[in-house]
Amino acid sequence: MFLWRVLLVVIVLAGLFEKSVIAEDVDDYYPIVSIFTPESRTESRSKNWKPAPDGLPLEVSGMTQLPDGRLAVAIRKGEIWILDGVSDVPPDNVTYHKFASGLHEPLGLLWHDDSFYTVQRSELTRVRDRDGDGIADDYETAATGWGLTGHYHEYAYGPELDGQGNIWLTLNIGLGLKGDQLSRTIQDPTLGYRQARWRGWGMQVDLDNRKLIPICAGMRSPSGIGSNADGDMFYTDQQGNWVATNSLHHMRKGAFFHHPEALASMSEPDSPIHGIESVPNGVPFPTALKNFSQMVPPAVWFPYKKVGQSVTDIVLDSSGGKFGPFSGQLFVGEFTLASIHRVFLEKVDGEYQGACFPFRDGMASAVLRLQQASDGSLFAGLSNRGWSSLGTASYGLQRVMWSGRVPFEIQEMSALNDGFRLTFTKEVDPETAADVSSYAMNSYTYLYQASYGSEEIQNRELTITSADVSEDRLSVKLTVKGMRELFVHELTARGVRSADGAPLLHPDAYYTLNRIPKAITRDQ
Amino acid sequence: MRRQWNGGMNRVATAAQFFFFGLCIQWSSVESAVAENIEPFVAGFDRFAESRRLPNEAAGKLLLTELSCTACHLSTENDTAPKRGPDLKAVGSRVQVEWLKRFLAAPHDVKPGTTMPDVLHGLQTDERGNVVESIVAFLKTQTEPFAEIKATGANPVPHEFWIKGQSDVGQKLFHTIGCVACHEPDPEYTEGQSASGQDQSLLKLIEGLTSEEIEELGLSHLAQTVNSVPFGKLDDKYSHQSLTYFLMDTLKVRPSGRMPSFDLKATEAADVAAYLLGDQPREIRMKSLPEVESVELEDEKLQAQIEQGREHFAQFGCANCHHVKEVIEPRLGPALTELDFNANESCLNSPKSNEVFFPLSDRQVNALRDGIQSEKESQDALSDTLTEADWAMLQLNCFACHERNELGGMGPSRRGFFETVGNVDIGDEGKLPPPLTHVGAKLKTKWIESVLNGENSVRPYLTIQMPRFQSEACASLPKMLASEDELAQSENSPEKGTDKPEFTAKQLQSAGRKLFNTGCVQCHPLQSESLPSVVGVDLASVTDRVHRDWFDKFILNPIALKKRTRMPSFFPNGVSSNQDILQGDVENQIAALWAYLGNVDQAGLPEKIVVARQQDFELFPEDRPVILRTFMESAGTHAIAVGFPENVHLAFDAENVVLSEIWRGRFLDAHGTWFDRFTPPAVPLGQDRLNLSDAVSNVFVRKGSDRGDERVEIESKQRFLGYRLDEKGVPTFRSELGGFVVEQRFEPTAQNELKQVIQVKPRNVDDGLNDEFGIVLGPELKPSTENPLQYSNSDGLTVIFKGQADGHSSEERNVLTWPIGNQLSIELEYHW
Repeated sequence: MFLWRVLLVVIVLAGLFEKSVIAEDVDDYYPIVSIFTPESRTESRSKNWKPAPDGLPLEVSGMTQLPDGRLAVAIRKGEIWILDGVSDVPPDNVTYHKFASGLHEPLGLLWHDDSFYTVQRSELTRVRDRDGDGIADDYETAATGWGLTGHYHEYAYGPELDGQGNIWLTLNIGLGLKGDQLSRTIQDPTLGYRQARWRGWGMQVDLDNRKLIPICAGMRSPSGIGSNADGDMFYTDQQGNWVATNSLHHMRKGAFFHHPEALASMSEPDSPIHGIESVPNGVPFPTALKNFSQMVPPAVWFPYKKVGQSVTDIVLDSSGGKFGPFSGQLFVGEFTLASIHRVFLEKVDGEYQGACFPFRDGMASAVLRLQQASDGSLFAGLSNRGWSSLGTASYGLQRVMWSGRVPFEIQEMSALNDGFRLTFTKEVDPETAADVSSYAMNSYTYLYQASYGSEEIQNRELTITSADVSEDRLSVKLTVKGMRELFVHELTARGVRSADGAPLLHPDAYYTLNRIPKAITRDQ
Repeated sequence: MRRQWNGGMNRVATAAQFFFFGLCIQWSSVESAVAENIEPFVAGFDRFAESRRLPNEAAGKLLLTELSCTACHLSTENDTAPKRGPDLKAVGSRVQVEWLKRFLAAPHDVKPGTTMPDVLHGLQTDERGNVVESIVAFLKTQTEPFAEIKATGANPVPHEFWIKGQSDVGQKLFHTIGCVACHEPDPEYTEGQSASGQDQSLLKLIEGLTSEEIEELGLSHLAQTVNSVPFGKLDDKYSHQSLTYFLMDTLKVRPSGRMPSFDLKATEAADVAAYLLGDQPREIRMKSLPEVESVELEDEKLQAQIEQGREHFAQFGCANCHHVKEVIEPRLGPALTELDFNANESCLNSPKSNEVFFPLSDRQVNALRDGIQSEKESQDALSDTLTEADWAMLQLNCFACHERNELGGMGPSRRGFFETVGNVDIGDEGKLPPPLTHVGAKLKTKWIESVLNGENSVRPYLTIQMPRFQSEACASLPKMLASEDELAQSENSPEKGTDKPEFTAKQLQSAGRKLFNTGCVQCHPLQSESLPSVVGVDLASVTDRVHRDWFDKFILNPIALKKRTRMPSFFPNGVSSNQDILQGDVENQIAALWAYLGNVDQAGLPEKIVVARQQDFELFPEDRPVILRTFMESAGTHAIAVGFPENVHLAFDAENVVLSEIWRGRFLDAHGTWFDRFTPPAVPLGQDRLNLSDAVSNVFVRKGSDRGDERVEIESKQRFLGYRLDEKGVPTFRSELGGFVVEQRFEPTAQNELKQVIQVKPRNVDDGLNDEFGIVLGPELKPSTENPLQYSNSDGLTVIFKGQADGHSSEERNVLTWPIGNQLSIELEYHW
């Protein structure tokens, strides 16, 4: 053990100070510390799935940092644990304290108002220790009332707080309900869809009155909730029927996103969505939007495989630079490919849109939960049970650190009336950055359809007519011919070099161009 | 290279390695000064030629197929089908042009050991150059886009995975999954070779023995030197993308089955490719070969060159062995039996002047002479020493891993690479592929077929894996094994396994379950369940896999069928070591085991596994109650199960806020709730289960001072508020009902019945003074004649209210009411 620690110190130093090697590996910028990642014992989809022997099945499904700095985690087995020492490097003296148990697959954890809040399958629960012995003794139902047929896919996620102090949770759609499950469903009389109540909805909670407030609908598998720097609330959705590829959506009153079975609850009292009489099927997404006025496009599509196969949690980099050059942006967990993506958002005509980028791969298992620590590092809660993922573990906890070195990356990609502006994390080499052949761009959209996912359709190469490097050499304006609204604009900047000659760590970016900004006149 | 924080150790290690590596380069350059052995490498020939089992005639015949002589010199024999070469339909996308040119110009220099002949040998240098240029121009037109790999929730496929391979992971895969059974291991690779000590001692032992002694000790198969199948310099030949795709399905390119497919996942293939091609920077990894060669039709000169290349491809017999997109007729030579190897132009005689050239060694020339001669004389070169199955296994090099009838098996210097997953010690059976002696008598033909097709692995504990061989060459192998080994079996007059009519199927299964529990369970999992740390073949599929005859004989005396097995005999000297089951009758006991293994679903897992499983997942309330929120049949999707140490348990329905079920004995198995993706309802394990959903159907409050008052309000909708635990861990369920808080606390009585205390508290002090609380019991519960506050039903349930209450009963229901006052407390008991 001592030897290991010595080695680790050497490695840490090597990682921080090694400058002579041309770095092109994400480990040099964002190294991973494994806190708890036991080797898988059974295949992640096995019916006989078992945790590692004699160990805590730390399938992290929720995380929150306590005021004293300790990390609390919810695990899928139904427990809340409080971990101390997780920020040590190396994390050799982590202690694990069981605080609560007997919960039904809690998929979120929030420390709020001196209590834990967690969403179980059937309710939002406030968990407290009233007698002060360090063990929970009050499991108070803070809100309940959504339907539950017993189908496994009816996951419930949350809670999360937005910038206004509203508390949010999201509810999965059930899949292929049958038999006794149907007796617990409701049906929309016009559209005929059947689901349990509020399935596929995003809800706010009025804690004082223990009341659910339905806000928006059309979610398929909204496993990630998180707010951006302005305090607006977003959720991620996962590819499947009606969902062409993974996506990020701005949650707000009356918005409908894509999965129409959520409309089974449209006629319920309190529903803010009304009057949908038909749902298009098998048409390009831009066409579907035209014929379906309540539907709003995602702020960001994550093109399948290129940026993940299954997106999860959302976390805002609120570290103010302690985690590198991406402060104010969102990080999004990735299940199947055991990685983390990055999202830049901007508002055009009052609506969010933006770009996603690969950020960090090579995690030990599916990234289900993300939590930023006060020092800026990111805790990643892992669990791949039920599906599959890359990595050596089936569950666990890791921490992504920033080494202090700035990677050469596209920091921001923002839309212009006639192209895009790229902002880089480091000065570019003006020659390669001004060369249009250093870039390539194409755009595509998806089918809106009841069947699973969608290929990229109507794919078209775009011509980049000029690349103008800014005076400070930190940004480039690309003038692009043939931009299309509501299409994903895929950019590769493989030819661009930094001032010191390095290629981009991740040369690809994917911008969801729902709206082309109006031309800016001098007066404005 | 990708690594985690601690993976950075590589960086430290590299400096040290660099030093050693420098030495190795010097060493190897000294060795390469010695004339390189470039004879075509045929694994079976190299290893077994001139041995007793592979006399010259047979060895020669093996060269005829493996050097694909019979692709040009046709033979009428069934077992002389040529190996042939790779499919070239996408060679332009797969192989670098420069490498192709050099390889065609001098195949044996560029890839020493290749089994492709130099078909341009007879040409002058200039002419040869032109022919190579034109053939390559033609091959460049043979392109195909790389297939899109379907990514799903079950199949992670990173974007551009071929540039993301991790060479350290690839190195480990290369050395552990089986590549090094045939290919050269890296002398630098030492990880995981814990068994090397054992093998070193074996090597030393063999070194000190004469060949006669080796034979006498039965170590011949271990003593043979096993050389490696060469694969040339891969980074000159492939791109990262093309090698990665090749490794994902080798049979697509090499349909002969000589390079079987491990069907690596996208990321694994990328890892192995990254290892084989060296740890190159991303810029190089990203270089791809052209997927589609665009040929300008106007370019007449190029067109003419391609056309000429196509003609040369036919003229030099390339099409005899290689498929291209176009159908090209083979160019045949004299039939095999017409060959005159004394003629001047014979490739065996004066190779220098021949147009087709192999750098054959003397022993290869001699073997070929004898092999062709015996073909001419229509002698069966194999009959004495090799069976048909042996022959197919020689061609496919199955012997690199498997021993069969004392031929082949993992070479001594390679055994150390293969381990048991988790390094559990279960001997060679946990490290090496199984011997295949008797395999046709053991395994059902369909099962062997499925194994050759890369399905149905039953040894997940081996790091080495069985690759997919699916090819023409092994199509008949399962049947050959079946017929050959069936024969050996009947010579030994097997006892035919029969069913035992004196017992019912159930009796046999039950006896088999007990037998399994006393013996097999110590080493074998069943249906993926096992005792802790047990590693072995899962016997759940055994009745689908093996023949009953073999099973009977093997169980009776394992060592007779499998030398050096760790499987003990439970029937020493033919006597059962367990005399308590089926009166110790050996035949009956074996029949019982077979009956059980075919019906585990009905008969249940063996007791010891059930107990082991319980320790992991069954909830035992020991000193405090245990609470589990889950799905249950009785309590629905908002179920809260509570288990008490007194072994009285209940299920509470938090949606309808009502007690749903009570039982005694064992509580619950939580595996389904904790760890099963499909969230099955939790099932009470104990006895005396009683569903209460019709018994206590509802509660209500009635507001208003006078029961006759018309303004009364009845509120019967409870809102669940959660539960609190007292210092003993006993939960109190709380709900809101018409402005009151209702608290329900359950606890076992001393007589192991269940007591319930209901408290109704007004939210405001003034409420309740004029209000009533009521309980509705289902109509099946009938009031007792002696005690009006005692109700019973035909299920054996009795509900007894303590104290006073107003009650009235009707056909539909029983209603009891109490004035609430400042605070109401009601106590009742459930007896069942």
